[in-house]
Amino acid sequence: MPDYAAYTIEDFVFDPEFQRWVKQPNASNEDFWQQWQEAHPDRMADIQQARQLVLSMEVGEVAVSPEQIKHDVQKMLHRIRYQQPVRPAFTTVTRSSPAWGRWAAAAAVVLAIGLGWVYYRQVATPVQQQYAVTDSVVADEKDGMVTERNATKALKICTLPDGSTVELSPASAISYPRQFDTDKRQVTLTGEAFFNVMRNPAKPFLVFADDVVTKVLGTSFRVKAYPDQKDIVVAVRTGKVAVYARQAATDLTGKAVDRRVISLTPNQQAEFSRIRAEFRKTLVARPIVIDKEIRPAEFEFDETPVVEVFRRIEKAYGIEIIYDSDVLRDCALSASLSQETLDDKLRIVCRGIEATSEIIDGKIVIRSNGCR
Amino acid sequence: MRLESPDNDAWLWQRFKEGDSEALGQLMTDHYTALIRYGTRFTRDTDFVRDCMQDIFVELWNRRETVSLLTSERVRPYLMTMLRRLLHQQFLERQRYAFEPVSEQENGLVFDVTFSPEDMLIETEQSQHTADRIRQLLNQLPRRSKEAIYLRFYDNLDRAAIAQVMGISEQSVSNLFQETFRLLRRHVQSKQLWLFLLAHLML
Repeated sequence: MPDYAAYTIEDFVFDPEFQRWVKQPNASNEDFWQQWQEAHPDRMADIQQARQLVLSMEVGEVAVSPEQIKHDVQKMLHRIRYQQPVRPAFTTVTRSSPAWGRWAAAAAVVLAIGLGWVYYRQVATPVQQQYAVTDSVVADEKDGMVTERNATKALKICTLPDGSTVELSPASAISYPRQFDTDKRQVTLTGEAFFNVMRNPAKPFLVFADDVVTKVLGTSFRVKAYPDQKDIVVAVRTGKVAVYARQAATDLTGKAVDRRVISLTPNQQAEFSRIRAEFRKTLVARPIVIDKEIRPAEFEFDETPVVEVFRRIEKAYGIEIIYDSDVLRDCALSASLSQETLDDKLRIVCRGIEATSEIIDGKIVIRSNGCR
Repeated sequence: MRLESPDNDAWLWQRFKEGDSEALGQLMTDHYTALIRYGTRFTRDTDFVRDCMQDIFVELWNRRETVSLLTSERVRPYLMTMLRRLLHQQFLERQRYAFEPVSEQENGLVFDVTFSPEDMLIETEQSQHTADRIRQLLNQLPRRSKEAIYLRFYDNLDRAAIAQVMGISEQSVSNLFQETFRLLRRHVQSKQLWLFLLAHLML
């Protein structure tokens, strides 16, 4: 038996035996606790308090029927016994040379996706993904270069020779060598794509999109370079990216730093104006939390110094926030910001401390007169 | 409830690692209620939670040779950690692939729980009043504190397990409890003092 005499109220509340006595009293535990209280009259108040707490902590729980449990367990067992690939494999349209081989492979892809789809309808997760399926995705090969065009209305996934993936938007095309060079991975994009690049510091990954070159080692980012739009946009989700105006990019291995070179961190984007041939650094339209370790609960603030609030936002979004910590020394905030977008978070925080925020050069700048 | 047979989980876990799918089924059966109750604290979409539960057990099966051996008391926290992580991952994924961003108000993944005392067990009007007061305080706690209390009270997890599941440090867990109990004591004190005196006078 635990040493109940040394128990605090908290210990009682969380003690399963104590809980049972409060919630399901029976002759034996009634006896036990009655005697215990008589032996420890000084603890009676604590016992009463703990009892009240146990009763108050009751939660209205959903009822789970034994049939539902059985059904779900059977479904799971069925899945592991007759397992198919959990996610449909989105292979690129093949690049094998004989015509029949290409058709066979295409058929296999269709079949795989079909099976995946059937499987997906039955058991898989509810995540909706819209991808191109078949024929209007065109791939052709010339001089060792592969070009994939997406003429569908859906995204198309391409896998590059190094395992990096590209989600090609509609009306976009990408070309790349069947085998990358030894010192770099170079692709050319028209239109828009989201890149997820395998990390390989020895072989930088270069995206040529019209007048802009994006250079990365391993990261995920989006490039938008539609011929009919006047700006070219590079938006970073994870990792670090360098973006060059094409003229400056002739010698990418050289150390010469051109004015038209900028580096981007997550949630930042560069807009290259074709007309003025220069970059502007901003934030992506809807910044996302990039730190996977962050829990929504970390955005619950209770009289938290505002400097700490900014620190957490910085960490979550990977965006630098510039403020005068001396001025903000006495500012504190109580708010629940786990569901808000970054914009709303900033607005709420700023309203709370009578400050203003502004985005300058891809950073958030806070202006405030402090709190007294 | 599993709590009564703590030796069982470690045994089932080992059997499942050795390739016994029935053992995995038994683990799922035994922890099903706790997992679904915990999962549905983050979202009202029960089907979403059920799908995620399918996925974590299938994933466990596929990784059975590499997952570590667990003691009985580590099994449930392990499953809850997996579930919590997958729920958040899938939620982000959903947002990423949705054409329109998923409305965060209706679908935000934040822990929520409403404490509601079992009226039948509260004998007197006096204690009813106190219970109401405490419930009110509990329901106003920050979400993090609520989640920690939920895990401690309903799943009987220890500090280390709560820290693991919530992805915070053990010290933070202790702090959450301390703050909560300080608050509760402050507000319940006077009434309890009175009860205490009453009990003594009657003896």
